[in-house]
Amino acid sequence: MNRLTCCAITAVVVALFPASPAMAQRAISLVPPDSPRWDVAGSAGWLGQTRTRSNGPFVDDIWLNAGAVAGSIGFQWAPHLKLTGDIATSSNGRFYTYEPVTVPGRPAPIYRSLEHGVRTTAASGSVAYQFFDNRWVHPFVAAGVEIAQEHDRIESILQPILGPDGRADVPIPSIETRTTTAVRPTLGGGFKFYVAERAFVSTDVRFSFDRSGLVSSSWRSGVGFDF
Amino acid sequence: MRVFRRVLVLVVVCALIVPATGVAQTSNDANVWRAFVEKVPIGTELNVRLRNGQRFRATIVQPSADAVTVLPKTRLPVPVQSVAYEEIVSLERRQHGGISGGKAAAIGVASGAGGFFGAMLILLALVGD
Repeated sequence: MNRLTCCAITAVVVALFPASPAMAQRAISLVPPDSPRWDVAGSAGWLGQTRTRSNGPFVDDIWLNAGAVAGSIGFQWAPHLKLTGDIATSSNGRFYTYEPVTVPGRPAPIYRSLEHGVRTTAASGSVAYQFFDNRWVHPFVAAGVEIAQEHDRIESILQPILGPDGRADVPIPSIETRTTTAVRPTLGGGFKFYVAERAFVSTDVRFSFDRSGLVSSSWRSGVGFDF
Repeated sequence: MRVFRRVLVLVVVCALIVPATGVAQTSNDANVWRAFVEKVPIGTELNVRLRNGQRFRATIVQPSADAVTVLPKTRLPVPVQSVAYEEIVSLERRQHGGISGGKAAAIGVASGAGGFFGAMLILLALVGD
C-alpha cells in the first residue's frame, strides 16, 4: 500500500512538473545588465496642511497652502522596488487667529491678533513599487515614513489700549517661534516620464497621516536623472 | 481500499493526460506562430505576449525553425534575444500612423505636469516669506 502510494505520488509529480508551462518558459530580459540603479531628482510643488485654529472660544479646521521644494535620491534594489530618501521644505503657510486678553481695570477683554507663518521641513524615506521594465513612462506607488518639523512663527499684535486720559497706548508687536516635530506615515504615487534614456520628468502626490486622519498632501513635479 | 486505489489510478491517468493535451496545444500554437513569422518581413515591429505573462514590443531580426530572434524595443537598449515559438501566446503586428491612445495620454499628462511645474515656479517666485 505504502509503495503504491509512493509510486503514484511520484508519477503525478513527474507527470505534472516537466510539462508545467511556468517551468518550461524562459523570460525575456527587458533590462540591460548594466542598467543604472540610482537616481536623483529635484522638484517643486504645492503643500497643503490641515490645521486646527482657535479664535477665542471658536475652534475650526483650516487648510494651509504653501509652495514646496524637494530633493530626492533613489536606489533600485529589486527589479520593481526602489528605496527613496528625500528632503523637502516649504514656504510659509499663513493664517490668523485672535485671543482675548484680560487687562486689569478694564471691564471687557481686549484682543490680541496672531499672524502665523508655518514652514515645514521634512525628511522622509519610502519604498516605491515601479510598474513596467525599461519603458519611457513608469507609474509608481510608494509608502514610507516622514519626520516633519514645523516652525510656526507667530507675530502677535495687541489691540491699542485707551488710557484714562484718552491717549492710546500702542503695544509693540512680539514675535515668537514654536517648533513641533512629528513622525508620520506617508502614501503616494506618481509617474516618471523619461525624456531621454536616463533623464526624466516626474510628478507625484503624497499624503501623510496621523491618528486623526489626513495631515498633509503635496503635489510635486520635477526633473531628475539615473546614474 | 479499492475505492482509494481507483481514485489514485484516476489521478495518475489525469495527471498524465492533461499536460500531454497542453503540450499538444502548445506545439500546435508554435506551428501557427512559426508560419506567421515566416510571412512577416524582417524589421517588422510586433506586440509580443508570452506564456509567462510578459508583454513587450519588439522588432523581428531573424526567424529560425524553433525560435524567432527579436530586438525588444526598450528605453535603454537590450541585446537581441531568441523567443521560442512555444513560449508565444500572441504576436500582433504594430500599425504605424497616427498617435496611439497611450502616447496621447502620456503627452497629456506630461503637458499637465509641465504646466503645473511652471505655475508652481511662478507661484514660488511670487510668494514672499
